[in-house]
Amino acid sequence: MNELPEWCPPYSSQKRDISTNEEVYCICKKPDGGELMVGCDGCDDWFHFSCLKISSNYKELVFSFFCPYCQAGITGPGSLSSGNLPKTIWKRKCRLHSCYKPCSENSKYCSEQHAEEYIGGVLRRVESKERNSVSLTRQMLEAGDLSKIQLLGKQGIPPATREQNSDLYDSLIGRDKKLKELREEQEIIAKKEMPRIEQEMKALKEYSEWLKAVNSRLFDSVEEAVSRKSQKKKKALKRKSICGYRSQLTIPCSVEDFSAQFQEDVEELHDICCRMRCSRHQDWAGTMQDALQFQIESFETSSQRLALLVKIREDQLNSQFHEQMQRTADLQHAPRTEERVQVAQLT
Amino acid sequence: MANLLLQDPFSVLKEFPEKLSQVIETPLQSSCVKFSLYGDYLAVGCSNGAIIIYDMDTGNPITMLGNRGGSHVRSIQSLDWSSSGRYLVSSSRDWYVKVWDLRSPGHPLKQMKFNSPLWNCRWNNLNPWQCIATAFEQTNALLIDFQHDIPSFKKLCCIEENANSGDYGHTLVFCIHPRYQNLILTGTSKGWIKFYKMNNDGIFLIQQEKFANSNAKHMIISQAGDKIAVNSSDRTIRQYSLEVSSDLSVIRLSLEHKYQDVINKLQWNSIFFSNNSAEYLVASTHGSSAHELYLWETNTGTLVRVLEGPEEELLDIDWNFYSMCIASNGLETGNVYVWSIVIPPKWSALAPDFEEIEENVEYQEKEDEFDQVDELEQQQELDQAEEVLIDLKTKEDFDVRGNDLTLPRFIIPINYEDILMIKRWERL
Repeated sequence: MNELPEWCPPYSSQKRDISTNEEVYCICKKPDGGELMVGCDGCDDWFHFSCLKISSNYKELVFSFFCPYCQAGITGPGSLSSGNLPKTIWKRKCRLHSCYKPCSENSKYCSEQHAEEYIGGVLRRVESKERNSVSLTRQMLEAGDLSKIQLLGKQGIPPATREQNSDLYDSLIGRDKKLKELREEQEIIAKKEMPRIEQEMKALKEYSEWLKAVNSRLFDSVEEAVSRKSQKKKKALKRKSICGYRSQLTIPCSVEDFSAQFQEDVEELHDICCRMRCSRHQDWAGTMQDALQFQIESFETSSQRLALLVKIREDQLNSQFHEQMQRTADLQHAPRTEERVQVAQLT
Repeated sequence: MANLLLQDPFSVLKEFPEKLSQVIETPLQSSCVKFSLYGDYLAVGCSNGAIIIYDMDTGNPITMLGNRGGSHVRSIQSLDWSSSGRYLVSSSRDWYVKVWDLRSPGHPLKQMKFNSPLWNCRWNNLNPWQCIATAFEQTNALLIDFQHDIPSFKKLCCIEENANSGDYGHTLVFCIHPRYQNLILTGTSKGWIKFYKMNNDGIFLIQQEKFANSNAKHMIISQAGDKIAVNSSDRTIRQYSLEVSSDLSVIRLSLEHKYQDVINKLQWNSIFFSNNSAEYLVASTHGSSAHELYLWETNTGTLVRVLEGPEEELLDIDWNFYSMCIASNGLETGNVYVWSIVIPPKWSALAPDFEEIEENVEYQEKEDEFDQVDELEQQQELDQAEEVLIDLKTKEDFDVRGNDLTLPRFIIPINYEDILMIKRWERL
């Protein structure tokens, strides 16, 4: 249930004056004195415009009226069902400020006459030394069809260019610290961090391939020999490989040299861990790969984020630029501020 | 938070939480939990390497460490907040120890890579920026120094030890004596406890004792430093009393209790002592059959309470003494369960002359209750009562539970930019 407005007394179902037995209406519970009233569509009671604090100017604009009690759900349709509470609906007012008649169909004005008056007023306000209302109207009409005019202003603010005002552009956009920082950050990611990670990724891949080659060279021959003997043994041996962890992921020597130097019991060769089932370095390549992959992903998201931030900052600066342009223009043509704004909106 | 001084003292001063009051649902598999000093935040380490910080007032996540890159990629093994509350150290199976600054949680502040997975890692408050860690198949614990741009580490061992041929196994766990911060206790895979002393001259092994034939899983020490407990893989928690001479030369360790699950013979996942002189010990059990935390009184060794609620095995435990909360994470869902003390509302705290009664009582007014008092006199009395100066500015040094309130409290700044970014993304 909505609350009643502050000025509205609580609901009373009184219909007749106790002493005079006259019919009473409205929130004030007074008999009809010929004052302007409006009928509620919810409870069929009548209400004074003045009691409801509605200007009598609006008398022609009522489309469907609901009294405060119906709007609060005390009486009328809202009190019966728990659904939406009714609300007074107004007709659209004529665009001319002083006119309180409703608009005629498919129009923003009550009549042709008022439409002309309104547009004439706008043109007069926009008129300046450089252009009179006639040329302005012509310009608007030359713009072509309605759809083109409607498009104006929808594309957002045009980008600020240095040609418009080089001093302002340099001081506002050219020297903006935040924008510079963001661009630098973008630069670092694109030119420094990403290539570095890709380099590391490549090194890891190359090293893994080399290790695979070493492993297959060292153990494949043994496997083949065994495979003829029994299938079971082959399975057990197939997993045989050296751990191969090396803190520096550089290839120390060729596959052939390494396999030639390799002996079963040696734990380390060329700083490479040669244990068969190494629990210490278990899954070292996977961990490293994941870490690199994760870094790439986070760089990608952060460059997306930065791009968005740059865009936001640019938009901000752009509107600031235009605002300041406007202000300086206004100062030159003081005191016609309001008109300049209008011009800006129209052009 | 409610003013604890106004609450029922019998509820406030309960020594352990009893009621499951909060379940924090995490989208990931959590592996360890750690409260910030004052219990404002809870850091949850996950098995995929993520670390999420939850705000305990709302129970919602507020930040994820390393969301701009550089987070761990394998299971988090341990987390520790710095005493200032601003920094967090994490160790992971991805071979990294990372230090995070919660002022800018997007990237790790510092990190160090080892050549094997790591187990525990904790700040050593004796030296700023120094951490102690244990690593996979390492004979000794590691002292990591994050003070400089390039972190360095050394082993926590003394010279004689290197020459000594005795095999004590790998160091798995450690704890720092709360009173003598330069006394470090380590536990090994072959069931030894070693006591190290660190000072300017170096590191000295004071004493070593064998407690069992199996490896140590956890080692904890009470706040007062007079009790230690070791959880080992022989399904036993051993509780010792610890006496240390002030020059750290003599250490006496005597077994007080052994805690075992006699019926199911379950292993213990994690253990934790209550505050001050550790009157209680809480433990979580291994295996899918038990879903509770067990709480023993340490003096008598009797089981006093079973904290129930979750329907899954519980892993890590953390107990915050400021907010009197126990948090434990579940194995299957990864949810974090929080037990706390629920204080029943006491309305008389709002109006001191208001008394709560169980049932209606016929009231008999006192002799002078409705006597007319001279107004002037009454006014004077009122004035006098009002003249008592109430000190609102001075901070208390200790809270009602005896916790130190003088320690710094860090508030994680709100990242407005991120919130705006999310809004903007949603719009796009």
